[in-house]
Amino acid sequence: MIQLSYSQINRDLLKTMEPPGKLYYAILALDLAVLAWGIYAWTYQFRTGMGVTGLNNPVGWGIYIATFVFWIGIAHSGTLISAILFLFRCRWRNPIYRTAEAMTVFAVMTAALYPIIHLGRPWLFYWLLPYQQRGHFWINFRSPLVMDVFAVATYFIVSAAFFFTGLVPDLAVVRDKAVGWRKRFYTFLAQGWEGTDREWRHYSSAYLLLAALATPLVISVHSIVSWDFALAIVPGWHSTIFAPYFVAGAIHSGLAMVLTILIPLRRIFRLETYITPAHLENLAKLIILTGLIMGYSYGTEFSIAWYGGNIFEQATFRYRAVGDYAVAFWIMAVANSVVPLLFIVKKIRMSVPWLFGLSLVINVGMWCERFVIIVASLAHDHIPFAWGFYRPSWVELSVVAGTFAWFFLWFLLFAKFLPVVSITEVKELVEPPLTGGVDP
Amino acid sequence: MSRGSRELLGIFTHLDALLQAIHQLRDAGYRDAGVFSPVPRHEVEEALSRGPGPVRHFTLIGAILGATTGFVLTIATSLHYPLITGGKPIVSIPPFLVIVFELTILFGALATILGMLLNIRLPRLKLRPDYDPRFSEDRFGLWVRCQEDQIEAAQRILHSCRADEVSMVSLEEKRPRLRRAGRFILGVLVILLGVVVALAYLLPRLPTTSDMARQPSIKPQEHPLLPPPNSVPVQGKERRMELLEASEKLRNPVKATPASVEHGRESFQIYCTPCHGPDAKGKGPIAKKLKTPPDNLTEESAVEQTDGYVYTVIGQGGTTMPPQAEGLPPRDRWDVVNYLRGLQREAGAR
Repeated sequence: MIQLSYSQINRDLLKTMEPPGKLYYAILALDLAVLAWGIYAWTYQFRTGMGVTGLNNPVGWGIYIATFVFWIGIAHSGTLISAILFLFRCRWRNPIYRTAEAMTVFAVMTAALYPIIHLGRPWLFYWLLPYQQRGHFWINFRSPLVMDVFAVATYFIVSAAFFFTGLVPDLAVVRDKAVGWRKRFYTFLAQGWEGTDREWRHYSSAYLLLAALATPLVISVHSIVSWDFALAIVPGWHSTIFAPYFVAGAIHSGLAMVLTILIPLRRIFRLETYITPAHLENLAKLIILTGLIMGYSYGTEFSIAWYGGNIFEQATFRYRAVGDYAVAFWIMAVANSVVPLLFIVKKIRMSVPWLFGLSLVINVGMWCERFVIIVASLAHDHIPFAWGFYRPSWVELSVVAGTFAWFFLWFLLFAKFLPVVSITEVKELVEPPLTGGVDP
Repeated sequence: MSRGSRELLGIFTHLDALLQAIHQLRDAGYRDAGVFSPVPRHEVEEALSRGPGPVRHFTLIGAILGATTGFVLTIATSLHYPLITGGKPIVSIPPFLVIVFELTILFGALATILGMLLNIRLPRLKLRPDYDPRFSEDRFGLWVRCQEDQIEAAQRILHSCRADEVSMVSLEEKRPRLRRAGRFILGVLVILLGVVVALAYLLPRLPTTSDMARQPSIKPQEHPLLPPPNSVPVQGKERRMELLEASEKLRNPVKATPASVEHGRESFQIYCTPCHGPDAKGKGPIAKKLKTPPDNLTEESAVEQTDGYVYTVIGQGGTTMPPQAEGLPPRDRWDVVNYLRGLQREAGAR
């Protein structure tokens, strides 16, 4: 990074919080309209019942659960960038981690909506908590669905706490520059941060410990989500490869989403000095790695089916490749394991339009993966008697669109209310101001 | 701090000048000093000779507490509510470890936050009187507490190390601020406790459906609520028909297109072949185990029946044949009829 002075960094990065233009309000209005439509669709489902979705026997888990898994996966790379790369002392993460971590928090907030939307009686969602209900129910800790509740709740609380902890020194910067109601607002948010040596000392050790706690957490969360499937005996699900396969897929999709978000952000806010092509290139390199893992996993699944000799497993994988959902399958296979290999070409991974386009393709591919795994296995399991076909209804599609709008709503607010690039951590990257060797 | 002590604040632009000032002050015996800085710098920590902080102990204790909570919650409540699921023991350690793991992380992280807040006396809304907004931008501050008679010497050191500004700060407001912070934290805790108590009181009283009598549709003299479209697993309820009536009234609505016949063949192989055999002559693999042999569907008596009759028999079952309506929706049954007609033609031609 080129040498910048501390006050230059302050000026550049606080500029992102200036009052937005017309375009911003237009996007916000569009986003709110989609959200309102999604809420309408959900209330319709709430009033009439689950019959308005395409869910039925035998496919009881459709795009709601697929998108739940998708969003939890998106969240993962935020933690990878903010916590795991922090532990590995990858300093290049500093300018991009704030955005990635905000993405984590908002993605978990979005994902957490789905199990509730998916419930037949959503007003009883709290029955999942270990709390004595009327009628003397008690939750079954052996069920991966209950583990999910614990994992997702923990993930949300810890990543939100980690996000806010990292924000506090920056909020103090904003507080010291703000006037009017913003001053009062950020004085409250900054919680009295002053940057004393005592504060920095405890803050730094707490930050390190939180990163160390978030790292195993992130791996556990998607493993547990994968066990929602792997613990069932449905062919195509019942496999020990699921936990590592899901975690790798989560990071794969998340990295693509980070690129999808960072590239417009960097362009709109003119952050090219801070988020350089080198950052984007590093993300692309990580995507090559996770893409190779995805390709390997797909291959392993098929070779298990072939070598394992289980005819149901074989039938399921044949059905995935050539059956009703073959289009989604081939999008998944190509977009997740072949397209990332394009990044091996330096020209492609250095070109911003290519990065943006391919990141969108990978996002679509990863959504298709969740869809194929869930729906194709349920549609054709052991008993030909019970085979069926699932197609999402307009209600499901509207609700899913609404939750995408919900995610981007939070992101739009984040972009204007909080510094999208960590001011403090960028300052850590540059040389501190020195007298230049002149003895005082 | 003893009565009569004062605080001096020097503001620096350059980090190395600041470090030099810290070293000189410490060499001169000033221990009660601290730094404001926009970024954490290890040099500053070293110059002030601070060791590792106590936050990590909070993390450890929190993590242990979380693991214990996880074990107690899962094991004790499962023993208290012994319901065997999935053929697993009541105390199933491997799945419980997942809960233990999550709670370990959760409590560890919360304890880390708590430890940090306690150690840096946050949150608070009012800043120290010696805080300068420039400290969050690009200036470093060095404060030092000293007795009246030491002030001049300290001032000299700060100036000689090229501090931009050196000023005296009054420390009047020190105590009440801490008390306010305490009140703030206490207030938050009380509110949280209130919310928890309110939820614990309210949640069990929320209306829950515990028996079927609570359905609005069941009330006397009231029409039942119609199910929303597509919400019933099969395509609505079909009226049971006498065979004679069915054979007269029902007309085959599905043309015997190649697609229909092909789909009928698939369904026929799944549902009919086991008894009636692939050629519908009643010689399926399990036919010989049945007391009443399955009908030969290519016989004249079967060929003569109308499509509606065959359709109804498939759906409702025959003398020994079980009804197939559950697995075969109407459309599929008509396809089977179309396919069967083809089989009959084949058998008749031969």
